[in-house]
Amino acid sequence: MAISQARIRPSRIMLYMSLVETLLLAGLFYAGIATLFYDKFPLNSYGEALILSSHISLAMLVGFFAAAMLAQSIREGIKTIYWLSLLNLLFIGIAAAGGLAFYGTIIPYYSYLMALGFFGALFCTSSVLFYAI
Amino acid sequence: MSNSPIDLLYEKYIKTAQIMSRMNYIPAMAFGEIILLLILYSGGMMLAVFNLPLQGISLIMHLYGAILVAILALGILAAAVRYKDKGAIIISLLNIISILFAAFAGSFYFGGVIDVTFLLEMGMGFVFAVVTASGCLIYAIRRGE
Repeated sequence: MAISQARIRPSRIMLYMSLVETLLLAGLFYAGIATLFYDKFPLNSYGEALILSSHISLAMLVGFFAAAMLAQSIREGIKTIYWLSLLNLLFIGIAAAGGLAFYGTIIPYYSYLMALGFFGALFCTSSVLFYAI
Repeated sequence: MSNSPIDLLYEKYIKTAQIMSRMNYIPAMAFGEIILLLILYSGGMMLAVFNLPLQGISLIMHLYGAILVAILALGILAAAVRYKDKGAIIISLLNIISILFAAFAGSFYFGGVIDVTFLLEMGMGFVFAVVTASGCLIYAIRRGE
C-alpha cells in the first residue's frame, strides 16, 4: 500500500511552484519582521518605505503563486493536494485581509491575524512541497 | 459490519492510529511539533506585535513551546535513524539544525544582547523549522508503513 501511494505524485511543475512559494513565504516573513521592528507608521524615510514595499510586493507574488498552485492542483486531480492548495489560498486571503486592515487602521489585532494566517499558509505550502518530492 | 456510531468512531480511531504510527511514530511527533510551533509562534508574535514587556503568559508560551519543540525534534531524529530511511534522516537533521539556529539567536537576545538582528534570525529559523517539520509529517505518512 505504501508503494502504490508513493507512486501517485504531483507533476514537476507542482514541485517547482510549491518550492518557489515556500521561498517567497520565507522572504515575505523576513520583510514582515523587518517591517515590525524597523518601521514606525507613518513612514518618513526611504529605508522604511523600501522594507514595507518589499513586503507588499512579495505578498502579491505569494498570492499569485497560491492561485497558480490551486489551478494546477485542479488539473492534476489529487484530492490531498487540492484541499491543501485550497486551504493555502484561504489562509493567504485571511493574512492579506488582516494586513490590509492593519494598514488602514493601525490596530495591532489585525497584524496578529496576519501573523496567524501566515503560519497556516506556510504549513500548507510546505506540505504540498514535500508531497511532490 | 454494523453501522452504530461507536463502531464508526472506532474505525476512524484505528485508521488514524495506523497513519500516525508509520515510520516509528514520526507523523505523531511531527504533528505535535507543529501544534507546539503554533503555540510558540502565537506567544512570540503576541510579544512582538503588542509591544509587551518580556514577562507573563506569552513569554511562558514562547519559552516552554521552544523547549518542547526541541525535545520532539530530537525524538523525530531518533525515530528516523532507527527506521534507517535516508530522506527522513536528512529532513529531521535539517529540522534540528534550524531549531538550534533559532534557539541560539533567541538566547542571545534574551540573554542581554539587545540587537534586533537576532530576532530576524530567530524568525528565519522558525520558518525553516515549520517547513521541515511538515516535511517530516508528509514524508513519513507517504513513504512509511
